[in-house]
Amino acid sequence: MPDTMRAAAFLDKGGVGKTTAVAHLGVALANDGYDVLLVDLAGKQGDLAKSFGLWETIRNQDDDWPNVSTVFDENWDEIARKFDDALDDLIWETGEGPDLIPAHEGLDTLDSELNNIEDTEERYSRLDQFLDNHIDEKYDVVLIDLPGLTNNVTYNGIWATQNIVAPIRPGPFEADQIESLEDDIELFEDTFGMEISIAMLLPNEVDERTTIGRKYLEHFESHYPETVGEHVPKSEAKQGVQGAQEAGQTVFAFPEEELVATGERARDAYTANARQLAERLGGQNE
Amino acid sequence: MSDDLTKEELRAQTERGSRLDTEKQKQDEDTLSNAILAELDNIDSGEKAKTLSVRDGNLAVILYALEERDEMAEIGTQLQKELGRPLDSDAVTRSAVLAMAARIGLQEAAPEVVEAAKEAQKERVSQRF
Repeated sequence: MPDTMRAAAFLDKGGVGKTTAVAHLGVALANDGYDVLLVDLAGKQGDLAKSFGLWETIRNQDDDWPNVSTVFDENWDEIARKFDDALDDLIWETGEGPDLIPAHEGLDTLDSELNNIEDTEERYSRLDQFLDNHIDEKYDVVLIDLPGLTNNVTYNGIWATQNIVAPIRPGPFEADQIESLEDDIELFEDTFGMEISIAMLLPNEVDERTTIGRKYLEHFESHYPETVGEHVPKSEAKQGVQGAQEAGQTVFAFPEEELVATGERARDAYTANARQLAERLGGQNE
Repeated sequence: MSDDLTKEELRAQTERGSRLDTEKQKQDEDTLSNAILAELDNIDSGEKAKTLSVRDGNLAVILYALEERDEMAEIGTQLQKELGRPLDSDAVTRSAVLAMAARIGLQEAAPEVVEAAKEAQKERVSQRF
């Protein structure tokens, strides 16, 4: 178990709020004094960088090497030795506390390249090696945004963290999603002989004013009392979570007086969830 | 592992684009193969001739001498063997000997050209499948 606390946002489904969760949990942890690194493996669109208004700058830089896909290369250690600034060049300051290794279009081909590695342990442990050898000494927490599907990059994220944060939108199919996640985890554990925890189920975009919203919250709380986090309310206003993300920031960046009620509750939920997450992850390291 | 790689080599080995960039790169790298593919179309359509001529006096005298001594068939089957083809002395003509000799020469001196030709033929077959 690494000294740095690590968790990966994962659910085998897109659009559930993994990126938003990683961004907000990251800022909340940074606000509590942790040195936080966010890593975007969730595809080449750069959504995590967009969450902090960084993507255009990153995309327009003259030189985009090395990047997040480079760290998976078997030659990464040598690159880090020969190129003095290799690690620094990967990492961007978000301006809200955490640092970020953003996505890169190289993630597109990385999955098929990883497929060419015959030894499965070697194939799935590349990210773990990078974090062990280059990141652990610099950060207290690493949060990884994973693709909404199971591929070699996803398995690298799960292998490296062994802790999953699963945002879940209440809905008719989402309960099945949790079961499916548990099945995925069991298969992974059986195949690789390691223990994977669901560190947090994060009910996301819950409209607690509605019967159905309350019903799903009760379901999560009764079935997963030890892993469910505080729900994040639906917050579509300009001064809420969605508005914040569209503006290239998290809801934490709004001045208190500008936040709408749902934005404030979302901020408080992420703060509470971050503390709960740190307790669960930190407890594993004792 | 690659302690002998220069910085430039390390970088070249690890630079990655998107899946589309990689496909485009692959197409660019196979330019000769694509060009051969285009020429196959030209041959099939009759736009270009299958017949090539070679003006080489020193080569000509060798072939005349082989014909004169009735040794063309023997040389031809040696070339067939070198190319891994079925041995058939009846198929040995002056033209066939020149074609086989040219292929063997290309294989020796520029094997990548032969590979490109094979790729083009494969692509042709898959296009027609």
